[in-house]
Amino acid sequence: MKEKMMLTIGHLYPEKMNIYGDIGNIIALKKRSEWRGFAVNILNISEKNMLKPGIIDIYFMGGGQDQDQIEVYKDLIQNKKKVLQRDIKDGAVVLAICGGYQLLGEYFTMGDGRRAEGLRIVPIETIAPSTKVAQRCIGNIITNLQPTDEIARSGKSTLVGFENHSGRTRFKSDKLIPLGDVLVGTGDNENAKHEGVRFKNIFGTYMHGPFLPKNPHIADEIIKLAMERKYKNKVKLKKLDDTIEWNAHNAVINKFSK
Amino acid sequence: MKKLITILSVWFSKTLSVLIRLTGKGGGTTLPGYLLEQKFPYLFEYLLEKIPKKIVITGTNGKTTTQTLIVNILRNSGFNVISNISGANLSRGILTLLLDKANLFGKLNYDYGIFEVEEGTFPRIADKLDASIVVVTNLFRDQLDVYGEIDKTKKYITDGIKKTPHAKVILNLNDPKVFQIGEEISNEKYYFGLDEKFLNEFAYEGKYLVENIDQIIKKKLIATDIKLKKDLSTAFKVVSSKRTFTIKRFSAPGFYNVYNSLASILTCSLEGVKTDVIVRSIEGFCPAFGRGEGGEISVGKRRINFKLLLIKNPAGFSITVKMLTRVRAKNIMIIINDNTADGKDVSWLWDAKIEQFNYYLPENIMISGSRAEDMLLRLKYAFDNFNAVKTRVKLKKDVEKALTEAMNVAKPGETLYILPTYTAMLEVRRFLEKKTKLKKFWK
Repeated sequence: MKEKMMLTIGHLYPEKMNIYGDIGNIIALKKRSEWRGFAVNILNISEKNMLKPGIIDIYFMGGGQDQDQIEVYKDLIQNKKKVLQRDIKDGAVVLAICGGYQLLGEYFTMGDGRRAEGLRIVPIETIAPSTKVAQRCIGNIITNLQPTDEIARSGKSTLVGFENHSGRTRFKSDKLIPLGDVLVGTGDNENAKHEGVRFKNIFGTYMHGPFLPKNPHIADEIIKLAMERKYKNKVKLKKLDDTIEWNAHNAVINKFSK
Repeated sequence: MKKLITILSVWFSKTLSVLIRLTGKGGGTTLPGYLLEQKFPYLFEYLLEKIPKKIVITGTNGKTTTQTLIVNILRNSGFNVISNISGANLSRGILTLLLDKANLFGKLNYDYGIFEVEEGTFPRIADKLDASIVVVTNLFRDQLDVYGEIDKTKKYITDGIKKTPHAKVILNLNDPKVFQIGEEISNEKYYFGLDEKFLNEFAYEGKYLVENIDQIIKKKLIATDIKLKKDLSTAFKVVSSKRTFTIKRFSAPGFYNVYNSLASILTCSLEGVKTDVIVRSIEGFCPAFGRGEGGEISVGKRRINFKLLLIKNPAGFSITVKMLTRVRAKNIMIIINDNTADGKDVSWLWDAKIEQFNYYLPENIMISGSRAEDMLLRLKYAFDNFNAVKTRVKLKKDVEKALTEAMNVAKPGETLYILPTYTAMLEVRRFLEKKTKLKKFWK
């Protein structure tokens, strides 16, 4: 009998970095894998846990509050950076949202001036202009995937979500490819008109909470990339009935498109 | 001059409120205050000065119920009480109320002002309110898209309390974030909480920074032997170092309302109200504005019971789902709107433990509201096997149509549990007011 295929998801700092329903993304990855007959193992990785290389197929990190984010950044850089860099170099898939996205870059300077060093895996920098609520980027956001992106070519090219961040992220390299171009909302910063990043097998975005449930094409791409890396074979995922997913996706587009 | 302007403002406000109600555009509970607040900033203080004692209730959940309980107890002890009862808890709402209740000479003749104050508003008006007691109910994740972060909400409340150093402060002993507020202030402190057996019902945030709280905290009121009944009402014992008494039936639904009753009991005990008046008031309580109010409705020849259970954040939603599975609820309607008062971000649906429905799956689930599609998606990922039970779930965006159908599906004598967000609750109430004898909320 063929052994059941299995994915291991590493949820980084699930207690501290889970604000605004980020857990929805873990739920989506788990369910969509299970519906296709894959087994899923979820490892919660906190400050006290050691990280070993070659175990995690998909890393996930959500957003957090400023103070928690500072503590988490410290632990990552001191205790987990090397393993993470090695796994990413080896093709591990990463979904990093909000605080997690900012962390992939060089640094994050918070509204009150405190600076948190990042992992320096992606050439981006993030600066928050102030701690004022009025200066946060808050609202529904709709973007369009890059036309070159294979996910876009398969049919649906839009992404929908909700952003709520104080930091403005800037690309430090012309070669860096954003995840999407902003149609509605702010995105990385007011001037750039782009949102998030695709870099190797890394997905970074400010779309928090149920990003993957409402964008099943991204969820499936993440599962596919992880499977192909793990089993060293081209993978064609079984098609699911995503009527409910796309209805929720399209409802956002219909309600908030200009 | 200030006196004259106050009198004129009172007249203006009263006239405007009447006009708003006549046109049927709402309760007129905030607009007059909004218009006058910036023009005459001293109005607030000037009007409040005439009320000898003020009590403030703040925190993310349970403000309205706690406030209503306090008002009832104080009124039953013969005091003349004013309160902002319609959930109008920003400064403009409170000002509108004061203007409305002042007599034509701009005077307020009351013994107590009981105000529920929105967390972010509290530090801005704390010195004007000059409360003698401040109650902090809890700090759950709530309206995060308004303030960004829960620690910010905590700081707002702490700052507000620091502006009234003479106020006695009543705090939730079981909520680590609220307990931390107590550590940062020098006010006289009192605590309320549940027996530890019931604490797994709640998903509090954060951790305690001190140990042996049980021994350190002496001034506390604890509920034990709590029983949840079929109709969601509770019975429990109240224990303090001085005395013990029993509440035989408290009709506000679920364990979380026991907290609200404790906060009100503690507040009124500090004000010297006798225990028998307190017990009588708690047992005679009718749930406030959407917080578990219920009734009967005729659908054709059948009679259906309904219960309105406001949901507004993950903690409240999780607790409500757990409670419904405990009483084996058969008919459920969930309405999710994304207006400003609901929170524009519906991500919180994913933090709510909807998976608890798998313990007892309702037979009929109706989904409605401006973000109905998001709720349906959440259910798909929450159920162990959505495909096997998807015929139980219906989606109708229009609230009135959805309500009508949900009531048609329920069997005679059964209860339809309606879980709306804030503005959805207003829609449901408007519909039910037409069909039943539900009171208009601003009365």
